[in-house]
Amino acid sequence: MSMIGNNIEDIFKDNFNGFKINPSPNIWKGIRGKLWWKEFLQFSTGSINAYYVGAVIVGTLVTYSAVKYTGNKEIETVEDKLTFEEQITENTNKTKNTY
Amino acid sequence: MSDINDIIEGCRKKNKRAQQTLFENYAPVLLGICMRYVKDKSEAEDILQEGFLKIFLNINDFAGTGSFENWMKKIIVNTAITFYHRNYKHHQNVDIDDVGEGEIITSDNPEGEYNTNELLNLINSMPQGYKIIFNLYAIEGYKHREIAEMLKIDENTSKSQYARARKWMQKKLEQLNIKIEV
Repeated sequence: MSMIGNNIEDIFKDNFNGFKINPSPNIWKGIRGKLWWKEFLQFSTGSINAYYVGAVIVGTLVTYSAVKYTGNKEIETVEDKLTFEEQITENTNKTKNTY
Repeated sequence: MSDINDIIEGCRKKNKRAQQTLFENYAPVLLGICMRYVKDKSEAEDILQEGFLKIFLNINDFAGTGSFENWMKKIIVNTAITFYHRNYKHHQNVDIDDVGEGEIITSDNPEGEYNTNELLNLINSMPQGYKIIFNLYAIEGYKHREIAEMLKIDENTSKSQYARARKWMQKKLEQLNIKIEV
């Protein structure tokens, strides 16, 4: 191909128009891996991402704390009740002994 | 999935098959562009990877008007410029007199024949500061005002660097016995 007579810009523009080089076979794998991670960090309503995972973790922690807190209260109440009942029994016994 | 609109729609929905088809269809052309901005294929593939990530993550920004291929090419060129800023910026302002001959090109080309790979070798042997402006102006067809904005330099700097780059290239083409209009 001889381009005698053309100017530099034309020579380069014409030659590189549609110029192709095949990428190495591992390039797509690299893009897929990075893309998965980037998509995971980007909020999207249609797919699992870091925001949803974060929400699930926070939800689980809140539920766990709430259950734990409420559970302790119930145990406390039962213990309080027992103590109260024990006190009544004790007082009743004392009264009986006095008479 | 062969129609470009179906592929774009699939990519918008993050369909992996559509993403792979887009890559397989356009990676060779886009790598051809990357190769003109850096010194070897490994660096060009780094730009290609980064560029494709931007394409997939920002595909909803493509308005649907105009050419999708040109939209992708613009992203690839911008990625190459970012790569240049990160790795080569300090080589930008070189004077033509400071530039060595680099690889000596011998003329065994009496008819002035050449192919694209030889031109690519010529571009790759350019000093980096010349290479990027030469690519943007002579091949991509950007105006000096646009190049100045992209490279964050003065418009006159772009013009003078291009004039030097052109002179450098002209000299190399003459060594290859390729006659050109000045």
